[in-house]
Amino acid sequence: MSAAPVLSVRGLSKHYRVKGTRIDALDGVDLDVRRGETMAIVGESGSGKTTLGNLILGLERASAGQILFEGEPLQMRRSSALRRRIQVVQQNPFSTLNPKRTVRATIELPLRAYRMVPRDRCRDRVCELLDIVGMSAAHMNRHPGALSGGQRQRVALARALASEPEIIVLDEPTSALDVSVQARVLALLMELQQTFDLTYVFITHDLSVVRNIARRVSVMYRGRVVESGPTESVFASPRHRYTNMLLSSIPVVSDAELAVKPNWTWDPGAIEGQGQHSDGCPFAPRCPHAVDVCWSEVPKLELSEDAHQAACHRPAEVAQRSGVLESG
Amino acid sequence: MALLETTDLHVRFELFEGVSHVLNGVNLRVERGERVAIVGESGCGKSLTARAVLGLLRHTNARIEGSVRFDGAELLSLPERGWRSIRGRRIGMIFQDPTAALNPTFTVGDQLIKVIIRGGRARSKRRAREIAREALRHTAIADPDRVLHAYPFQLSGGLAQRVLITMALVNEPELVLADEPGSALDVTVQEQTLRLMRALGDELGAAVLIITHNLGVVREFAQRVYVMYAGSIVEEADVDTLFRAPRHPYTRALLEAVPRLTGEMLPRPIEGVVPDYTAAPVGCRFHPRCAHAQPVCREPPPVVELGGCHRVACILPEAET
Repeated sequence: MSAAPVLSVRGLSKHYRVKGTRIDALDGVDLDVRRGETMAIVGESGSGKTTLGNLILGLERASAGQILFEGEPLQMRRSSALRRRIQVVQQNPFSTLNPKRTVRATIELPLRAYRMVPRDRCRDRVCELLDIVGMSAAHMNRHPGALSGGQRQRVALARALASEPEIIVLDEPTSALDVSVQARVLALLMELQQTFDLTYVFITHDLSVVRNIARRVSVMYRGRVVESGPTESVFASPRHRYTNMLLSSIPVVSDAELAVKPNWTWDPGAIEGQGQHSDGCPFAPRCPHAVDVCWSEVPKLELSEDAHQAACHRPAEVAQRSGVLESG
Repeated sequence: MALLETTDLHVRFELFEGVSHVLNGVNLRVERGERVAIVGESGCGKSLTARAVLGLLRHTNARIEGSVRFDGAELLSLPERGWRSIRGRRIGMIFQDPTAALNPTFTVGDQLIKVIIRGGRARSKRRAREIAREALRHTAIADPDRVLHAYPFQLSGGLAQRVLITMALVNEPELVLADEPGSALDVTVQEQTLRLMRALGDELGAAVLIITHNLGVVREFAQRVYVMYAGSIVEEADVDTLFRAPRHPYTRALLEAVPRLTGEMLPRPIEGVVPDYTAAPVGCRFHPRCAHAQPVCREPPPVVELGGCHRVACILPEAET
């Protein structure tokens, strides 16, 4: 792996004001993504993972902090040349393709906007791109309405590839698909990454998918990264109580998986966090190990090369008792 | 006698393109107190089966044949009046998206009270409110009064899901039909939903028929499972047997497509798509996607008994491995 990250996020924050109250959608996020790797961002709804993706794409303006692309700060307003290099595939293939545009028109748009090929070569290039994502030229004049979910997601991928990007932000690209189709799209994503040396920022809530395709993972909770590290290490020995809880909630299909899954008895109250507010660790209201310091001081996550880290004041307790736990 | 039994259930829709033969002879059985799952890809007829069972296809252009018996009584010929004593009373329902299943213009309390009075558990609103409060507390809702006065949009997804569970169970039904419960929610909330349904179902002795596309949910929740493909049941087994020794090629393919938490093998896709029901493949409907298909698969597949409740609709059930 090359040393310098292609994408760095430093102290990134995004606040919204809703009826006078400040909502911290993102709060001091640090992240490094290296060229050619898949960095997974996992978390539940409301954890800020999509906001992070939007900021990387320049769809929203950060409240604080910065994003560095090859060492240069990325602004929200950016040149067409920069935009070309960071593309996106979004979650719902039923709403992210314009229903009135044919497949050809959809894929041609970035080809023209970024002047990727001469006009008379556009059609051929669309054919090539469709071929790359495993579709045939026969689909070119269809509208999205005549395509299945998996096919639409391929078209979205072809559209992202049209501008020959270096980074693709994949925001839940397979969540709306059946498992049989999901497997096919994941295989395609892996293949494309190899062929074009793509860097993926893979946003998802599905930890099983992460385990299969990402080299590194950052777990987000309420706008903060609470744990990050190499995928294998995070899955084998989660150090944050929240990661532990996420892993133990996944319904699995085999005994082998059951053996690697953390196991703890459930405390229903812990799910909602009883609406309490914490000035310190955002997870404190749901954490059985929380002590005074957790409520008052935000635990820091040191960023360092390839290390497995958790933002927790009491990592020893969490590690020690990651097995069975009584409620309350 | 089974609590719920469908025999050779067919559902057809007459469309402009032709007759869409969606359910193709579904035989399904749920015993009292049993947790049963129907699993399959989207478009395989899982939800349609549930709707047929609940009599929700009556005022559509669906042509229904076969039999649906609940506690011995035929439901397909039941008049609308008869349904009132069954839906919401003897059969409870839980739907996928909890916020969409509640009426946004009434408070949770209003809606719960209506369900309780209709179910005949209380005559007065005051008594019904007491029952509602108690029932909410029972589903681990810490502050039932706040929830009773809330409108659905004021609840989080997890809370709304628990309100729906309360609503489905408050009249102490014998059967609960749950269509993708919690799958619109986060994994931690989904897990909690399933645990709650299981605990409350056990307590009441209610049977649960759960419909899901998630094999993990099946394994953690159900005792027996039906695998459905293109409107037919292709395999039936107890959960242990199905996950240890699946015999239908579709079941096996579906299992191999699931990404594993251990990450030891990449999920393998199933080639092809669920067929168009106006021109469904003849014989075994899975044969165009099946790696082991032979000419004989164009004949209707026999149901092979494999001992216990394990049945598979395949001429060449794959050997155990």
